[in-house]
Amino acid sequence: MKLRKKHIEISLYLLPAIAVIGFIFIFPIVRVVEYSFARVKPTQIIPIGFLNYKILFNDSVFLTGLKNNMILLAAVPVILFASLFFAVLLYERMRGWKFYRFTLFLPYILAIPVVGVVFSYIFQLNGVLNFLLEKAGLDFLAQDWLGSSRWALWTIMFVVVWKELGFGIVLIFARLMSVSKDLYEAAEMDGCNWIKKHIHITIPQTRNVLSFLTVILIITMLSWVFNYVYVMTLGGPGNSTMVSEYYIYQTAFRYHNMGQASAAAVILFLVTLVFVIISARVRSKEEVE
Amino acid sequence: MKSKWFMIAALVTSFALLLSVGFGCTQQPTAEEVTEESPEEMTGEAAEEAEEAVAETAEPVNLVFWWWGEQEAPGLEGWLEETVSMYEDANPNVTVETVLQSTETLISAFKSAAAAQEGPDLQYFWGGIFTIEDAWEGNIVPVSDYISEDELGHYFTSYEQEYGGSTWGAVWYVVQNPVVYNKAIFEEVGLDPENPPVTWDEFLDACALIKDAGYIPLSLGNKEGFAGAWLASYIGIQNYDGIADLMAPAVGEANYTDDKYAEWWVRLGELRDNGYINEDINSIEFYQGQDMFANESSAMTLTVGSGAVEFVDTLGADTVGVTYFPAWGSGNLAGKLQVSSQTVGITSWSENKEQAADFIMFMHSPERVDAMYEQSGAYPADDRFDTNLLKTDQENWMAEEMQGEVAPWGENYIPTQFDEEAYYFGVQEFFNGVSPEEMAQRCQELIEKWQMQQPDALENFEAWYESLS
Repeated sequence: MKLRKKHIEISLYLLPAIAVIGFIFIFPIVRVVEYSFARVKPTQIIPIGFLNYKILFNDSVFLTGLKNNMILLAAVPVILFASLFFAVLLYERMRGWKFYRFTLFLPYILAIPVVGVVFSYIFQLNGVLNFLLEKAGLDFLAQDWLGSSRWALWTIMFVVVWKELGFGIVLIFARLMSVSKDLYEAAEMDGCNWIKKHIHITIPQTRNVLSFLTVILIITMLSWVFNYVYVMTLGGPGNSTMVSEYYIYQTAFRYHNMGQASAAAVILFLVTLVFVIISARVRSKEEVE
Repeated sequence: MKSKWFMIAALVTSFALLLSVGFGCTQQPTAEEVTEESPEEMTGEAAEEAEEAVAETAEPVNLVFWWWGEQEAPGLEGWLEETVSMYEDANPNVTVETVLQSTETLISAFKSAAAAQEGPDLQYFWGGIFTIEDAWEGNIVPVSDYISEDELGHYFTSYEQEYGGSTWGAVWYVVQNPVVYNKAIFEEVGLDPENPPVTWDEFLDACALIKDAGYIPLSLGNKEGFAGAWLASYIGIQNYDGIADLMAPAVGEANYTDDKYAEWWVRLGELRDNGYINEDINSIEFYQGQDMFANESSAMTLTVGSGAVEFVDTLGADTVGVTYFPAWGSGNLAGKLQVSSQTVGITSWSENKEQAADFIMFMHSPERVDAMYEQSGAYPADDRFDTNLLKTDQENWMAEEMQGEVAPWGENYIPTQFDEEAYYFGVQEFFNGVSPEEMAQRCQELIEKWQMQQPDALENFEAWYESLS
């Protein structure tokens, strides 16, 4: 009886916090889900079942957006590998490592609009990159990096990798600083070469950080690339750099179709959730092993 | 004891929070309600009464005006500040707060405000659909309910904002859309600088000469997609006889694959395939395309009236010529200067609608319209404007053209979603090599998609189309 009373008391103490969290997180999610099954007019909300979802899966622009998000996921292993590589180099105190540490982390602290604008000028057809290629006699490599449907998404991916790399490096580097040096010394005494040493010591020791970074990067590629697209290409040329977030923004705030935008948001939320759950499962499985 | 009080406080706080969630989600008034809530059918008398009410009121009033326009008429901001200051002096109980919006946020910020039913009292709109769709959504009230017919009679191109027997936006200034050309380059390549090409064949011949001389014939930047929509407006409307033709495919009365609607892609293809438009069009911004004209690497570009005056300031009056887009089409709209209007609307949630209308009328006072031109170069949409003030031959040419028949701006009469998908994105894809036939087919698919996705907007469009027909 006493225990039950205590539970009630604790619950009541928690109630204000739960109400605040509910207001901030749960209410908008419920509202978005509700809108996704409705035609939202300024005056009323008309339930229409799954029609918004049906329309979305027949909308080539939305499907292109989702596909592009999936393509951007290819950047996740690239960032993971590059972060690990550079973090190891820094950890081994290569000459000038402090300068490199600063240089590698710098992109991460720059604002995305600044990065976007600068790279927009670099990657123009008559921009800095093509100018340098031409001067180096490599003009056959020059492309309309952001103006061509063929290259624009890959160019954005490059910028995302460049920008997000710093975060991964710092994260892994911080973890490496707490790894016992004895492990590496012992491995060296056993005759391990550089690659083996890092495969058998560094990767297992940084596994938790790598798992965490993977989840963050997956979320980034699915739900946080809007800024890059908005600043650099606005989803163009054509729909070649359309991503789900930009589709949601356009549908909601430019085409004023809140129901369809909500349905797209729900789908994006579910897709992200699936990836995060898979990643978490893999992580917990590894921990058990 | 203490913990009991804490528990009670916690319960009360939670209850209050949940209540606030419930009450925070109130519905917006309907479009019909907005119209019904408006004052009685406006007559000159009612407008006078409204004006008297404004004069009599001594309650402090704060008007918020979200606007755009400095981008196309530099100097407008200074004029608006001066106008606000003069208006506040004349109406000591009124303050006017102006907020300059960026091109990207002009529409989205207002939509967010409309969703919350709070924000500006006065909102700037581009003409036609950009104003009318907010009327459909109940976000604005008819200005004709607050401004007398006599006064509105002075504002020209008001027809763009008419729907359901009301005028929904007060025209602020007009935007002419000429082609500007560099007379010095024309002369250098053997073209007559005083007689720019008028027909399509003449235009293609001129482009060939200009290109051979090492200049870009027509420079544009389409990274944001605006230039695509501009091309559709300049070139795409030439087979149409009027506004109804522009709207017909949206309401299913015509098809974008019909020759009448598809042919302009072929014309644009001629410019693309012959290299008469800069090859980096997709990777540079709109204003970068115009800068090519300013630095004389291109011979022609597309701009607005005030932009033409800026080019005159940069390159000299003798160097800059203005003309309309050479004609290829067989419609009434071919070979005419395009003119559209930028407007100011009164929001449905404003508590100071009469005062807002009064401020609009103050902006249209003869002294203010003349000052607006003097300070910004924007052409006031008011027949009380003293056209003797026009400073350049280029402006006089546009003013003379406006005395005759002008063409509407194509973008103002098509659904925004279609505009972006077909013209912003579509023209980008076109410059990546898509064929004219495929573009026409895509346009038809996109308008059918819009019809399916936006049944309410389609219904409104049909009513608008009917009223125009």
